[in-house]
Amino acid sequence: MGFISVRESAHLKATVIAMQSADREIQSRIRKVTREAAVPIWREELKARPASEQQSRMLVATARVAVSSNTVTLTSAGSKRKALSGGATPIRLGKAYEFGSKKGRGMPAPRRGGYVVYPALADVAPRIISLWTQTVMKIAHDALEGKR
Amino acid sequence: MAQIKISLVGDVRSFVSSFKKGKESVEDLADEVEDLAKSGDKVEREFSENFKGIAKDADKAGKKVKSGLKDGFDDAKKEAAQSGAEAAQSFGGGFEDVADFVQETLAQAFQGFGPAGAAAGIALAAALGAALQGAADAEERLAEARERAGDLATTLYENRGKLPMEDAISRVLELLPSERGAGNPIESFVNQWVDLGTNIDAVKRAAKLAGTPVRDFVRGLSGADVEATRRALEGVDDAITKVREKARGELNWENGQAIAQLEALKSQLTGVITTNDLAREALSAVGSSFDSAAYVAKVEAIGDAWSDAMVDASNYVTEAEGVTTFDWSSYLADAVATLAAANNYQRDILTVPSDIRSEAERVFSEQGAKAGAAYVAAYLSASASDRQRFVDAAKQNGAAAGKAQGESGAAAAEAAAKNKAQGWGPLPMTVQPRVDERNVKNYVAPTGTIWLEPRIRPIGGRQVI
Repeated sequence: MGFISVRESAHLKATVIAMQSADREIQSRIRKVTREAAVPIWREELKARPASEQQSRMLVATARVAVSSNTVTLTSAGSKRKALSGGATPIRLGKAYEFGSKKGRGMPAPRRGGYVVYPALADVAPRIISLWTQTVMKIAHDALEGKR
Repeated sequence: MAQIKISLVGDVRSFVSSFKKGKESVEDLADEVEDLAKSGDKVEREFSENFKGIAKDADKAGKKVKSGLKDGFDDAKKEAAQSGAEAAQSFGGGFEDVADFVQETLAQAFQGFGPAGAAAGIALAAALGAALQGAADAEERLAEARERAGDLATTLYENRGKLPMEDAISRVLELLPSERGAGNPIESFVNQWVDLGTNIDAVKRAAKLAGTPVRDFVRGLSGADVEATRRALEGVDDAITKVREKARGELNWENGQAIAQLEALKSQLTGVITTNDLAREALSAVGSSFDSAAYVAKVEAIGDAWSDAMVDASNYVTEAEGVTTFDWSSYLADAVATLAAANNYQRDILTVPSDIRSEAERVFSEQGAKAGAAYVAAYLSASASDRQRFVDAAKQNGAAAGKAQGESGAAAAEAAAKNKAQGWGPLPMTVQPRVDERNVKNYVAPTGTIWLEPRIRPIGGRQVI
């Protein structure tokens, strides 16, 4: 499953409820801290994957993290800016470089599990979720104790 | 194809809503919290299990991820709807807070465009900043807007030199409806910026009725291009006729409203054209009192020179350790000072003898408005004998400059033609050589409103600056 359901984990339930009941200012601080920590983790993990020059431009350079009150979202290949000299943009061809394609010269061979993003995801997602839950708890806890 | 997007935790919305209704069992929650606070490893292991299979059926994952994402969006929407007003009150930091990141992103993309690009960047930064001021959840919107700003900036960067401004305006307009509210800063900002003067939605609806792209209307209403204004006016006339024909004399609430909107837009557009025509007449009247059609051309040339002399934004871009910052507050302050100098110059230039005038024009076009104004002021404050020396020097300089003028004139004309073709100009203006002093006085430091362009006061006083 691409993501974990909140219902599958008591930890996540606790985290989500803590997040929901925290006040706005604390929520925003949590999002900020989580994002700041998660971005390098996601980028480093992608960089560590074997990838062609094209894949790296398409998929690694475009890695982003968005943190909302409910979840952490990892993205890649969202850019509309030309990444390759022929004019290919990640938003159009990113997935083709991730999963491969039979069409087109120089494209990686089809691979169901993906080349870069999805393999990296399997490693990095637990770390980031863990980071998020810990951050929520830490900041919410600190806030309760009056440490701002 | 779209981007690859994986939401790590799903199902949150339905969980939270049933939790709030008391349907979820969370007995062990207190223990969990304690547990979480203590051990990171365990949690990570637990989640690892869930993600193991992911590489195997990643393509299946896509679909599921999608449904997870939908949850997320719905949540965001709901949240925004619930707490709009409250959040607007609590989020006071506003402009300064959001300016930094937009500025950072945009300034990088825009620095290659020179002053016009910087102006566009500032406009967008301000528009986005203002949009965020009323955002329900500032931080979250910030992240969102950062991406949007990035997208926008990359698009503009790709379109280098190909009229990205219009695209940018329509994109800003696309952002508007969700951000609108009574006295919303973005609305007033855009009103000031493009002279819409009316409700943005009305313009969009009218554009739809008229079958004309919104950007044409914006351009027409901005007064930057009279031809565009006329085209927009034709479109509105057509639309009015169409609506009337369709209504067959029976006006109901719906088509009555449509016609009212179109009429409002029409009078707005007519106002722009009238202003433009009157300004042109006034301009030629000034020319005739000097008894020379060539002088009109000269005045127009001064206008061009003035544009050229506008502050170069690149002076305010600094790069340190890979981070580009754009000191826009100084940039705008300088721009205002330059405008004031240009005003003084234009006031005084009519009172000096022709030799001084041509020398002043040369100084102006070569060294900018401030130098030009200083030169004219120096002449005016000089004693009678010094004035004669000024004139002698101007004559000699003029002869020397005459030779060089051929080349630089061609280059300037080329640059101006290029600017015109691209619809760019540091300060798009209906009529070139008049800066209303009010606008300089009304300039507000960039904590709220930003003045990007001097405005001609429209006839009839509808447009409020």
